[in-house]
Amino acid sequence: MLNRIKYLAIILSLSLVNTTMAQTIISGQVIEKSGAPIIGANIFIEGSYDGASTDIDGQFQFESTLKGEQVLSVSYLGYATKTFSQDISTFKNLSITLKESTSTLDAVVISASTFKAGDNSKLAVLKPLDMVTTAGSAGDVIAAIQTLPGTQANPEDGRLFVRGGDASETKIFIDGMRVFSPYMRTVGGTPSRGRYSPFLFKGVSFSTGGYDAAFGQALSGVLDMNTIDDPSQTETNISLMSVGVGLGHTYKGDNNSISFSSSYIDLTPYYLLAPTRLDFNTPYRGFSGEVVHRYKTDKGLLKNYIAANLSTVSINRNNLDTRINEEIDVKNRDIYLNSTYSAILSDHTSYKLGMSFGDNSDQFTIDNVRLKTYFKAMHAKGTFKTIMNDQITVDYGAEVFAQNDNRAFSMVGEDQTYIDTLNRIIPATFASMDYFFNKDLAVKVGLRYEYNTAINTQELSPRLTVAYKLSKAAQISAAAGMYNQELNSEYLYGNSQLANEKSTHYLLNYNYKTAKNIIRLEGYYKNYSDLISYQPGDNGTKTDVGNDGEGRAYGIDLFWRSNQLFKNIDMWVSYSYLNNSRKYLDYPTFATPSFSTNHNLSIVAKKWIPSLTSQLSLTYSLTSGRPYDNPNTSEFMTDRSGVYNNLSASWAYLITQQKILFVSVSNVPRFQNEFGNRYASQPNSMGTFDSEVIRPNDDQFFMIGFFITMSKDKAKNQLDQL
Amino acid sequence: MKNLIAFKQYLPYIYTLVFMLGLVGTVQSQNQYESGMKKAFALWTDAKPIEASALFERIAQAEKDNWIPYYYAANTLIIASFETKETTTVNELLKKASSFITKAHSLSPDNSELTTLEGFMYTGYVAMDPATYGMKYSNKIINLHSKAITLDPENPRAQLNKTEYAMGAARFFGEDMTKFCASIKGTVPLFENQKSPVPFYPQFGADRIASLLKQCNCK
Repeated sequence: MLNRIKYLAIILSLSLVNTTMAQTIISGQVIEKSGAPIIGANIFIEGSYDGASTDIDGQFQFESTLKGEQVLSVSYLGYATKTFSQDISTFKNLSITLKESTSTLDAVVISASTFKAGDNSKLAVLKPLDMVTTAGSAGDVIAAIQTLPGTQANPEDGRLFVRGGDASETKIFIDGMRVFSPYMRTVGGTPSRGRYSPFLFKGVSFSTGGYDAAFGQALSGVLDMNTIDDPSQTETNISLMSVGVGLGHTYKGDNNSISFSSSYIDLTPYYLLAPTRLDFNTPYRGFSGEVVHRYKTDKGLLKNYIAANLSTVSINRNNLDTRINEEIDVKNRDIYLNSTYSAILSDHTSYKLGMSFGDNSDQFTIDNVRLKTYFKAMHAKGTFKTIMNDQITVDYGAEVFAQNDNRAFSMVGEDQTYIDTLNRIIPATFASMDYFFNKDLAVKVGLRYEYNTAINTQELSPRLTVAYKLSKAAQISAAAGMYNQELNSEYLYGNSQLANEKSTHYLLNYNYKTAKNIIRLEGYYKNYSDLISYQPGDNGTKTDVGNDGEGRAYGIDLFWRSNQLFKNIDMWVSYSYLNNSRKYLDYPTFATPSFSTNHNLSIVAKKWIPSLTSQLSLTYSLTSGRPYDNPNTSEFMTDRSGVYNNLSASWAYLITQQKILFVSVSNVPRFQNEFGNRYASQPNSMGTFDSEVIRPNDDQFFMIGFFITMSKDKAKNQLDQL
Repeated sequence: MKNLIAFKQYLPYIYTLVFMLGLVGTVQSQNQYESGMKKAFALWTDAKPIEASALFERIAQAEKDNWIPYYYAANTLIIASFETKETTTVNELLKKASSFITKAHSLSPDNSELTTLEGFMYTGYVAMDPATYGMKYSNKIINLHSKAITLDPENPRAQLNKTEYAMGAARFFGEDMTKFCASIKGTVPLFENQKSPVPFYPQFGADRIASLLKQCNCK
């Protein structure tokens, strides 16, 4: 009996093995949507060895001993993977069409007027290093951005002016959170710089119009700077410069890192040597300190950033009215905090929570009259991104801005209690959806809602972008959107009847990008309404303050970057044409504001010279004449200054991997530039208004710096910090 | 009750049956693994890296708890990326390689060979576009190689890749290359003494020593 069972068992086992060995043939063809075969696609039954790659005709055939319902997986690089869960016997003579994955790098990009620096974007036009190695920028991110089209150079101001908008119309963000006082305080035609060190940022995103619903309170432009996620290593950096000294240290742990950097800038020694048109009592002196902390959690990243700035400068200037020298003194203190946490919520949803806080006080003293301003501001924002499927991505969130402004006028030595106070809260909510019809055509629709408590006003702003891919390298986009921002706080003190200023953008963009060339061409039209308007009153007061201003701006921006035009030279050319006309402030008629110029051209070239281990960089900029009003004529704002020219050069010499010598000179040929005329407020005894030509304070500026990095690993240097 | 006793009686035979079936299965899958891997290596040698990677991927998803096929599925693509000019393709290759490395890491955390491969994957980005990725990934690559060496100081590939990456920077700055001779030569005994704890464990790389020594003008 037992023997028989044993025998049976063996027979049974063999026959079972035989059964599993029975073969099913799986076959078919894998093709693209166009019908073209996909060669080398990977087809297999999940969890088994049974599979094959497609041949030159996209055909495949393999055998399987599996039975019943099985999952067949079909995949290829750059295509969305397909799976079929069916009875294995049905996997015969299949015709499988794979769709190109819309998440692949060469899909159309929904973005019109945005310039990016960094590696995270298909539309990146600048490399991370460009932010700091562009001649003339002297380590200022804002100055490097000014070599892009759509910006109007105002070299005596230094701030960003985008497509006919003034500096307040472009808002600046760090990791998506508002920066409330982005520029250093200067005086008397000294260009201001961005407050924050370029060392901090891994990339920027600069939009000159048509930006999406996540951004509000900006009429003309948005600059978002992204801080580094992960510092490289533990190291100490020392900078010795002709204008000051700097010290920084980074500690890098496994999941966290902390960096601090500080600098002290004092222009006193520089002006003992270099000529200047300014009559300084105290040349610019400033201290700045920054601390960045980053902490990696299982699913996210927390970043904390704190910056503090203290600065002072004092000059004497001849008053055109009184013909007496007056002393102008500016002191500033600024503290900025920024915290963001970004993390993954689920397979399809990620989120980012952020908070920023600014605390700024300024004190302007002219002889014995003093104006003090002080503000506290905060911004909190939460955004979610949900990838619904291959075709639809939704971004949604809410944010709130709150600001408290104070000011006091007094005589020096008097009590300086703030008399004017202004509070407002601006809550907002926004949502947008990206819809990919296919890899070549996509649309983004968005809507933003805002409320302002100071003026009790709500706004609804729709935004739309359509993008179509013409070829592997080229795409066109069109965008339209409505934008608004609150008036400068100066007008809002004690006046709750005012409205927000508004603009509408329409733009059409062509983008061409290959490894060696990037070409962008963009045309735009902007319409402004509800701009601030007033009548001039006595002693500089303003009467009839209202929102009766309007304006329009149109133009063409061109950008071309090439690294093949000249051998071993990387260069870009930006040209902007702008026609801007406004009737706002106290303008009696439509006119071009003084910060707008018709033509702006920048050419940037960089060359690495291996034999000298040096990088040489040149920046040339040309700006057509600036409008200004001559009160001795009956026309308004019809005079134009001369053309502005500048050629800056910088040379970075890598002595060793850890020691760098840096020399930068602005306006090498010493072009004599002017920015129009300044006039007395009252006519003289002859009945004409006295005037003087506004010239740059310094025809030329030079800087010499020596940078040392100390770390365990000697491969790292500060090249990225120049 | 009686039935149960009767059933118990047959238990040893049922065990035998199950065991035999299992054995057949194991032997079959071991053979399949070995022949599959060999076939994939043959495709690779035959300059068909994409197909080799596809086969390595098929083996990996069938094996479920073996990191080795994922290692090669990634490695073939990374090496292919160095020979590809088109940046979109390079990006796709490295992105896919990265997904294989992630899967392999989850099967075998703190694996020195996989950490070395991850460093090699980022090197692919730097090779594609040094101006964009050099600054971003250089330190990451150096840190990954250092971590791989900490995980297994005897790993010759980690040592050699680290040295080779440092050589690139030194060459750029025109430094004396002979300082790398000692560390290149130091990998020779490591290559000679390397063990293969499991079949197909990475063993390659010794053939690069001669060319690296030449690049550094070593005697």
